[in-house]
Amino acid sequence: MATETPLEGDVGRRRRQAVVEKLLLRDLALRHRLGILGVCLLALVPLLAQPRELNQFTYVLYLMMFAISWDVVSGYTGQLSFGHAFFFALGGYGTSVTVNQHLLPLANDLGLTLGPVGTVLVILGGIVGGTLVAALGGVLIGVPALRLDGPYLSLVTLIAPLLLYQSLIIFSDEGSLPVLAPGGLGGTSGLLNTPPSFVGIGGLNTAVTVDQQWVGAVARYYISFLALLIVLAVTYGVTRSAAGSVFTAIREDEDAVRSVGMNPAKFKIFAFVLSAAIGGFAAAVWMHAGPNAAPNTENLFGSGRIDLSINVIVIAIIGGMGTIVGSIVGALFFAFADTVIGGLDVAIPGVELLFGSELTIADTSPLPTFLLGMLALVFLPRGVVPELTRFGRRLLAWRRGEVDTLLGRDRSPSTLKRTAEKYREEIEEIVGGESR
Amino acid sequence: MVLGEIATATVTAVFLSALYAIIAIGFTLIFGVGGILNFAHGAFITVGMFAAFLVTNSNGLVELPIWAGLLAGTGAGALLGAVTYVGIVRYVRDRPVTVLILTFVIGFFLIYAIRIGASDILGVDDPLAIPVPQVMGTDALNNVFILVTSWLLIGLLFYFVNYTRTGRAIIAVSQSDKGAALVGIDAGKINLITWTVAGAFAGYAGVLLAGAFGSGSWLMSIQPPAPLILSFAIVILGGLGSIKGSIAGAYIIGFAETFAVNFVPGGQQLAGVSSLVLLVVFLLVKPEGLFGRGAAE
Repeated sequence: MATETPLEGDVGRRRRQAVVEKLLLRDLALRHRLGILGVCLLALVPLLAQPRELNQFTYVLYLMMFAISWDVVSGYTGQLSFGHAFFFALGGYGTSVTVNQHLLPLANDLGLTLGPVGTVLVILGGIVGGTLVAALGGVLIGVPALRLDGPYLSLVTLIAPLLLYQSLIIFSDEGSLPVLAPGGLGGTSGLLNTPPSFVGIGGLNTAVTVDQQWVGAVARYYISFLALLIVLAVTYGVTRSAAGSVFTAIREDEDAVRSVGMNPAKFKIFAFVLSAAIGGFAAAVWMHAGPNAAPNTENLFGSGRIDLSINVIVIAIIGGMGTIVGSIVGALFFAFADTVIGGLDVAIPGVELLFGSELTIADTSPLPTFLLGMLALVFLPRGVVPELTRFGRRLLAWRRGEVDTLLGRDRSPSTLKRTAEKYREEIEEIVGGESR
Repeated sequence: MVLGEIATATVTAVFLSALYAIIAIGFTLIFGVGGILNFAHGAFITVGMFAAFLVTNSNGLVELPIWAGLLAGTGAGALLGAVTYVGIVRYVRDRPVTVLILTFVIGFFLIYAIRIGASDILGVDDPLAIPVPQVMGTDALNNVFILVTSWLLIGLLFYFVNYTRTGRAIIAVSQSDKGAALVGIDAGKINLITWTVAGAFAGYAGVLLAGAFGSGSWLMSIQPPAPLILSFAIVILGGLGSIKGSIAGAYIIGFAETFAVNFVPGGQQLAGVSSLVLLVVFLLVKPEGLFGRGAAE
C-alpha cells in the first residue's frame, strides 16, 4: 500500500497506536518526564508534612484545580473570566444542597440507615450534582460569550458572582427557594449544616470514622489528590487533543477558525462548560474532603467577594497561561509566597512613627501576592513554566554545542528564520531524523 | 396619590442619575480616547472617597471641612489616574489582554490597600463603613448640590472637549491615533490628560457617592450600587466612548432603578441589582448601545 489518507484503513488501530506511542515513558521528552516526577513528588508530600501543615497543603491542591479550571477557558480560548468563583460557589453550594437538603432527607423518608458505603454514595451523588449545577452555570456564561467580545465578556463574568452573592442573601431563609433548595441558602454566613465528609474523626457527619487526627489528614489529602489527578487527566486529554488546538486557535484568531469551516461558538461553549464543570467538581470535592470544608461565602468567594477569583488569575499568570501545568507550579509558588509573607511578623519601618500603630508585613496580605501577579504580567507575560521550558531547551542546546551563550537573548529571530526552522523541524519529524 | 408617588420617584431618580452621570464620565473618557476599558475605575472612585475621609475625619490625618475633602478626593483621583497611566498603562498599551488583567488587579490592589490602611493603620472600626460627611447639611440640599455640580462639570467638559485646542486634540486621538500623529498631536500627552481628567471625575464622584449613601466602604466599587459595574452598564447602554450617550445611559439606569425599587413588589432587594440585570439584557439584545460604537459584532 502506497499511502493512506488519514481517513483510510483501520483508523481506530492507528489512533490507539499513536496514543500508546505518546505514552511510552522511554520516548517522552525531558519536560514530560520532569512533569511525571513532579506529580509523584506531590503524592509523597504526606510523608514529609505534619498533619497541620498537610491540611494547609491540601488546600493548595484545590487552588491548583481552581487555577486549572480558569486556565482551560481563559488561558486557552482567551475569553478572560474575572469571576471564576461563580463556578466554585455553584459547585460547593450545589453539592451541599444536594446532599443535605435532597439526598439525606430522601434516605430518611425511605427509612434507610446509611452505612459507610451508603454515605459515600450519597456524597458522590452530591459531587455529581454540584458538578452539573456548575456546568449549567457554564452554559449560562458561555451563551453570552458567543455574542460578546473580550472585555464585555469579562464584565459579564465579573457580574455573575456578584449576582449569585446577592441571590444567596435573597434566598437565605428556609422555604425562600422551594424545590431547588428547601432549606434556603443561608445568606452570607453560608449553610450552617456542613455536608458529610469522606473521612473524619467521630461524629455522625462522616462516612468513614478514624480515630487519629493524622490518619484523617492523610486520607483527605489523597482524596483531594485523586480529584487533582482526575482534573489533570481530563484537561490534558482535552487540551492536547484536536479540540485543544481549536481553543488556542480561537484565542489567536477567531476568523481563521471560522474560515476553515469550524464553528468557534460551539468550542467556546464547550470550553466554558468544561471549565465550569472542573471548577464546580473541585469545589464539590472540597466540601467533602477538604480542610475547613464549609459551604460559605468566605470559602467560595473569598473574604472580599472577589479575592478567590483574583487569586486564581494570579496563580495561572505566574505559572503560565494556557499550559495547565503552569497552574500547578503557580499554585505552589503562590502558596509558598503567601506562607512566607504570612510568617513575616516584621513591622514595616516608619508606619508606627507616622500613624502611631504598627503594621507588619504579614498584615498587608493579599497585597504582596497581587503585586507578584502584576509584576509577572508585565515582566514575565508568558509565565514561569514556558520560560523555564525555553531555558531548559537552551541549556540542552548549549550542552550540545549548538548555542554559544546560555543567557543571550534570541528574542526576535526574523519571521523568515522562524518559518524556515519550523519547516526543518517538520521535515525532520516526518523523516524521523532527530528524536526530540 | 399614585401621581404623588410617581412625582417623588421622578425627583429621586433625577438626583440619582446626576450622580451616576459623574460616576460614568471618567470611564467613558478613557475608553473613548485610549480604547482601554479601565477595570480600575471603581478603585479610583474608592480612592477619592478615602482621600476625603483622610482630611475630614478625626481618625484620618487632619479634620477639615468637607469642602477640603471634596478637593482632596478630586485631586487624589487625578493624581492616581495620571500615575496609573504614566507608571503602568503606557508600557503595556499595545497588549490588550495584559491591560485588561492589569487594570483589574491594580483596582483590587488599591482597594485592599485601602482596607488595610483604614482598619490596621488608622483604626477605623469597620472598613465597610468609612465615614464621609455629606457636602451640604440636609439631604435635599445635598441632592441639589450634586445635580447642579453634575451638570456644571458636564458642561465644562463639553466646552473643554469641543472648543479648546487640547479638547479637539482629544477628539482627534479618539478618532485615529495615526491621523492625530500626522497633524502633530502627541498621543501620549493627550492620553495623560485624559487619564488625569477621568481620575479627577472618579475621585469627585467617590466623595459624593459616599456622602449620599451615608458612608464609604473599601468594597464600594462592587457593592450596590457598584460604581465599577454601574459605569460599564451606563457606558454600554449609551454607546461606547460617547459622552452624550453615557449621560443618557446614566439617566436611563437611574430612572429604571428608582422605579424598580419603588414600584415593583419586593423591589427593595432590587436596589443595585436591577442595573446589572438591565446591563446583561442590553448586552444580549442591543450590544451596540444607543449611540456610538459597538460592543460586539
